[in-house]
Amino acid sequence: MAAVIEVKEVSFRYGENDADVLKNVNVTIEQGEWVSILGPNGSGKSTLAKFFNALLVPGKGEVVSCGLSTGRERNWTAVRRQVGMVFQNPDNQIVAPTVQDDVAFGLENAGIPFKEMEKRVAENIDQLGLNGLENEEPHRLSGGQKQRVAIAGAMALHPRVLVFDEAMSMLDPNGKQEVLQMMHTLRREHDMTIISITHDVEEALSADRLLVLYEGKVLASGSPSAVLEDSALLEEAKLMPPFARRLQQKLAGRGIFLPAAVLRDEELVQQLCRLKQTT
Amino acid sequence: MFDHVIIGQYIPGKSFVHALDPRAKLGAVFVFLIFLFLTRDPFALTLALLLAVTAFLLAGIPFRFYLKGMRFIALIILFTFLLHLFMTQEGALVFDFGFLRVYSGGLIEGGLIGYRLFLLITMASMLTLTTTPVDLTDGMERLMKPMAKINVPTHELALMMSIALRFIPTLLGETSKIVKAQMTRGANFSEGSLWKRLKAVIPILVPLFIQSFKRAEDLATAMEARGYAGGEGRTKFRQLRWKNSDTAVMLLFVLFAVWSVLSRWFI
Repeated sequence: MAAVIEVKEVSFRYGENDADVLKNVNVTIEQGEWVSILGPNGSGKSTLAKFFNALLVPGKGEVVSCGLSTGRERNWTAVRRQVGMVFQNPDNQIVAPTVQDDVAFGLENAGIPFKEMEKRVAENIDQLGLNGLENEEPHRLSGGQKQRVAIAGAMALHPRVLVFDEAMSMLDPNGKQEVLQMMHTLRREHDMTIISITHDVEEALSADRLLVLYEGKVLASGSPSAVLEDSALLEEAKLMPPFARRLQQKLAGRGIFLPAAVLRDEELVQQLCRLKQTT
Repeated sequence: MFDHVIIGQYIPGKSFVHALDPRAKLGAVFVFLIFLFLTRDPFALTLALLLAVTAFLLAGIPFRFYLKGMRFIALIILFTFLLHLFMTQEGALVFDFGFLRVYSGGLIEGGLIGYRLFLLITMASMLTLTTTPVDLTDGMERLMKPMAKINVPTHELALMMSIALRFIPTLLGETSKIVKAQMTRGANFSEGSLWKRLKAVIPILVPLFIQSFKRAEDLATAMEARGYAGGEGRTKFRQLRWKNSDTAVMLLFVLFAVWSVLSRWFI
């Protein structure tokens, strides 16, 4: 596997006199990986995400995205075309007055000819299950639908990497499910590299690998189970373990021990049922 | 109050007028307005009425809706008519109420201006009633394109307009949310002196402005992330198609313009 994004020894502060938001961060993301970057508010995770597609450029260190160094301004457009991004607030990232115009926005910027654009817009609307909403105005859509429009807009440019910057934090549970499912589909059918920035531990469970960020430093990197079962690490990073894990710990405190560590709700239910059969 | 002004509203439809190219509609209305105010020729004025009535009939706008929208406009027209009626002092004296004198010239001037205003509003309403704001913006951008050569930022203007259109409903929704939020905190918007009520608006405007700036910043980042780098080298997803019917409509209005000019200065 080849690395698509390499962040090398990046330190960053917004203003001269501000504290460092990122402190000597090293991150490598491989082609086809699903990485969740987990951290509490103010840990620098959203700042880090902006380095992936040259929205921010490091003062110290280097970022190489899809083989291009973001330090050079002439690489920016190319990098942004390869690394799509979906942001937190569904209302603030839709530019155009209708769904299909918005999906086309990135293509217009890239100067894609009309015939090709028409084809790609239709493709992406279909892919994201937005059929029938082509001419709908954004404010009539649900939160989940708006985020799917945003994903369609990013996908239309055929990127290699899709970054979700807390894309689910403002959605209701249904919307979250919608977007999460879409992420799984993109990954399965398009071999997309997915990076999701989140403070929601449950959301991070879908990833192949977790990066834990705290106060601008990478605290840990590993599989979801390895990271989320490490209570000491989570406490240090001011993160709450997943619900299933918390319940398991509470039960253990009362002398009820589950046979194996659980992270997902389904696993918890399974183990609880087994527990009942044995007693 | 704005429910009663039909200019600026859009009624979806599939009529002949709906299907015209926005450039043709904009151009036709523009030509119509200019020459309507230039001409005094009875034939040209009748032709203008014919054009307006035809446009209205073809657009398939419900007559009741049109009437309702014109009620407010009628007041303005009446006011302008009266103003001209009493202020013009030409021609023969028609009425004499002592303090008010009406001359035949005033009658003609007032009638003419009222007639022109009526046609103007009708035609402008036909434009906005049958064209979506997005199409209008598009049409304007294309028509203004030659002006880009003299450094008029036509692309930016059009983008600004389309973003404004996109965010109007969003901001309206937000405003009503803020109003409710302030009401739960005990704000009172409907009682007290005028000064008090004006002051009550401040706690709505401040959060609205702060939120709008935040939105603007987010939107700018999102646009940048999608490779926006100005109008240069950009292609358009929205294509306008100039059809034969557009040429025909344009020709009709140009004929009207030619006749108004000829009748005023040469015949």
